[in-house]
Amino acid sequence: MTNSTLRKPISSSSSASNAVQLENVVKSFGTTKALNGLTLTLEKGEIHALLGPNGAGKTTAIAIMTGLRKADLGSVSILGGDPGNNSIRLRIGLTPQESGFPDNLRVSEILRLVRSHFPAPMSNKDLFKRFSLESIYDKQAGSLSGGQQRALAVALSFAGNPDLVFLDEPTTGLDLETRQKIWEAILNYRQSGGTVVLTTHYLEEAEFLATKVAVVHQGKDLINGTLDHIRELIGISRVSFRGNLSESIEGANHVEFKNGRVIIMTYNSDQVVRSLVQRGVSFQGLQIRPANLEEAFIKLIGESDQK
Amino acid sequence: MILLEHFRASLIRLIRTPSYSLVTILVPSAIFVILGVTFIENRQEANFALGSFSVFAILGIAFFQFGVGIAEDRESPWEQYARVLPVPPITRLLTTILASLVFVTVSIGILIVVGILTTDIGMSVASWFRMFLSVIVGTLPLAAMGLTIGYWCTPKGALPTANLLYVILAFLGGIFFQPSLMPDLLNTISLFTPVRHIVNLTQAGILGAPWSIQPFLVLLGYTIVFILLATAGYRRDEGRKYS
Repeated sequence: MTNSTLRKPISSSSSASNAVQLENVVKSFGTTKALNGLTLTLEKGEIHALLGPNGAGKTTAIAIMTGLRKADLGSVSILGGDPGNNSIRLRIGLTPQESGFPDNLRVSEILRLVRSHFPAPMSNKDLFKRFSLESIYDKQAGSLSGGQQRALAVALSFAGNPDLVFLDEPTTGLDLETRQKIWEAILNYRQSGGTVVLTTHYLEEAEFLATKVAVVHQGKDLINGTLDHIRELIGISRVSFRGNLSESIEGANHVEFKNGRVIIMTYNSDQVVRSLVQRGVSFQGLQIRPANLEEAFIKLIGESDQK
Repeated sequence: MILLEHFRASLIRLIRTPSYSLVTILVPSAIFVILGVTFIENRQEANFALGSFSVFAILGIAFFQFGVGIAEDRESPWEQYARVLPVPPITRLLTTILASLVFVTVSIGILIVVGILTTDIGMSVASWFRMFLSVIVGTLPLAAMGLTIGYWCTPKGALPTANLLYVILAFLGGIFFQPSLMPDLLNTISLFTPVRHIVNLTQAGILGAPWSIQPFLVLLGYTIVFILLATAGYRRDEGRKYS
């Protein structure tokens, strides 16, 4: 059965109204606190982007949510249950941050092994079509390119026809064509009732896919909002120039000095430039570009730290 | 069936890595030729040596092929993925034990051929049968020990640990010399190792002496204890133990 449209209704326990419910989750590795009281509620039927700077605890959060690691403290509920239980594992899929397979197994053999775990797995035909695997079906995993491995890793998370899929940086290192193919598959999956939790460093990816966004920093949830939130964040521009700045500039949200350059984060770059000129600030090598995700986070984290 | 699919996949993996598997499989035959041809003087010694080296073969495969292999794979991305699949740890452990049995069979098959070619091995059909049965029974506790090494040792710590236990157990278990020649103290210690009981089973089988139930119970006990330990090690990686 190719049940892309005929998915079984999200069933069982009635308390499972959310896909993910984390409360005050703490996880340490040695002396490092990877998660420091993370509370997160992720609804069903959405594509959740988990964003944050490197080392923010996103991957640890995914490890906890998939039952790979157990939280030291706090409560974890995935589809209303413990992700360590087989009954929950039957309903989730995972693409780990790194892809890797037994080098000497063929793609067909890996698919066969994975599909055997699920009562109603996605058909091979369906998987091939969605993730462009036809050309690599008979290849041994060790001979796949990085991009092909990644496509396979993403495909495997959907192989069991799960209700909830975790994708840790799904399209890192992929060419544009494969990336778009995977995006399309993710969107289709959501349309048929699936829930996705993904992490990404690509602004376009979050923008294109995410219906909900949560930003994690130092193992805590900063904002948990909608796409509009992130659109607003993305609206930040970065104005920089060589020179000095002692005056206050209208429209500047955040000012810093780095390597002899003044860097201004702003929602209104036009206003900032006008103000610079009006105040007779001498500047050289003026650059204006949209802030990237990391810079938007720094700005955001700055705001939350001041609170 | 999930267990058979895992079994199938792990066999394919091992068969397609011949260089790695072959060394472990051939070591007992190689040592048998070197030691055996030098020291074996009659048929009974040859038969005993065949039994002992069969146990040696199990030990090597359980500890190196599987124990060390598992420890090295444990943090790999594939293993991370496999752990999220809906399969209970015990199924994966049993798969490994099954795969060990296949490798043990191949290794001992070669050993028998080499033994027959180089020494005066020969025994009754009943003795052959009882030796094979001893080997199958013996694979269970030793494979479970290998799993315990695999799930408790760090990837770097597994090889030295396996090496150390391999040598100690082979020595204490009476693989390289007749257990009956052991001094009392050593003999007492020896009887605490599973290896010694497997060696005893093979020798009783070769001699046509009756088996008592005791060694079987001891080996069953070791199997259960090490499967439980290995499962705990598997869970420990999830940090579940501390929940």
